Amino acid sequence: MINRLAVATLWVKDQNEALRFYTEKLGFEIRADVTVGDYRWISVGLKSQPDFEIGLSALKAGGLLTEDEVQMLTTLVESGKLGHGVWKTDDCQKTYDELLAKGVEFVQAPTDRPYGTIEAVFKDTSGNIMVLSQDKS
Amino acid sequence: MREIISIHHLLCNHYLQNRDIVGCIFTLFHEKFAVHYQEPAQLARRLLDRSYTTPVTIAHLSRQVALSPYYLIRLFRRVYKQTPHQYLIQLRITKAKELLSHSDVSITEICAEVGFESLGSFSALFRKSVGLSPSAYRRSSQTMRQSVYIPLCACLQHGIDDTLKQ
Repeated sequence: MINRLAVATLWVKDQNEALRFYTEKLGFEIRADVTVGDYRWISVGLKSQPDFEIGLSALKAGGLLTEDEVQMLTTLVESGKLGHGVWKTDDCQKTYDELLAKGVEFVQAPTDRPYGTIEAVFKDTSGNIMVLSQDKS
Repeated sequence: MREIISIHHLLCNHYLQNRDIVGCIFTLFHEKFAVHYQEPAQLARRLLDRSYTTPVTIAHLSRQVALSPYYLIRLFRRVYKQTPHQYLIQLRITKAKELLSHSDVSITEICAEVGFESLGSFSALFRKSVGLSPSAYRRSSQTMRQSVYIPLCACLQHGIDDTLKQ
């Protein structure tokens, strides 16, 4: 039986830029930062969710990834067609205001959704689309 | 093997005088005997692992492994996919990251402890390499576990097993 999700990965164009975004703007913690040769595994997670982390995977050729595949993936990530996620918050408007003040790029301001949530949508520095979601009740 | 090394030294000595021709011979020589030359690269890496806390120059390192600086850099890059200098900086930054995450040692002390002579260059290199300043890294990594790992799926995708074998 599978118990829980422990690690998921996001493709990022620049790991350093992504690390700054997820730690300094979103307030995530660094969970792992290991460099082997020219490969760097870096993962971040939320203080409130210590058993889940996201690997910030560099869009870089090497290993099984060819230059063509990296180019294809980069196009998809940049256009927001790959790498979606939903982050829960107790107060969507307040978190939206805080993140907006820090320079996070939103593509949708907090909006009531018909399925019982208030949701805003933002992009990370690579183009991954994230939803900021608050349950109304 | 001794003869091979002699030929190699001869090539090193003549390299600066006639780069084009000797460079070609060098490459052929290198391709043919590369297997034998993993050892000096490994020795250089061990020396860097031991002496990263002190100032290290490529001239000094190459004398210790009895190779020309040019050939040591070339060989090291072939085996480890980075130059000795890049490896040294990475090593120092890695040690600094460990100390920032798992100790209360001040940033100035960490800078000296990992072999940097100036706090300014340490901070600039750290930020360039890691993405965060040393103090921001410390703030964000306080809860990081001491033993972290790369998930197997990422290892397989990026061919990490091959690197670890070297």
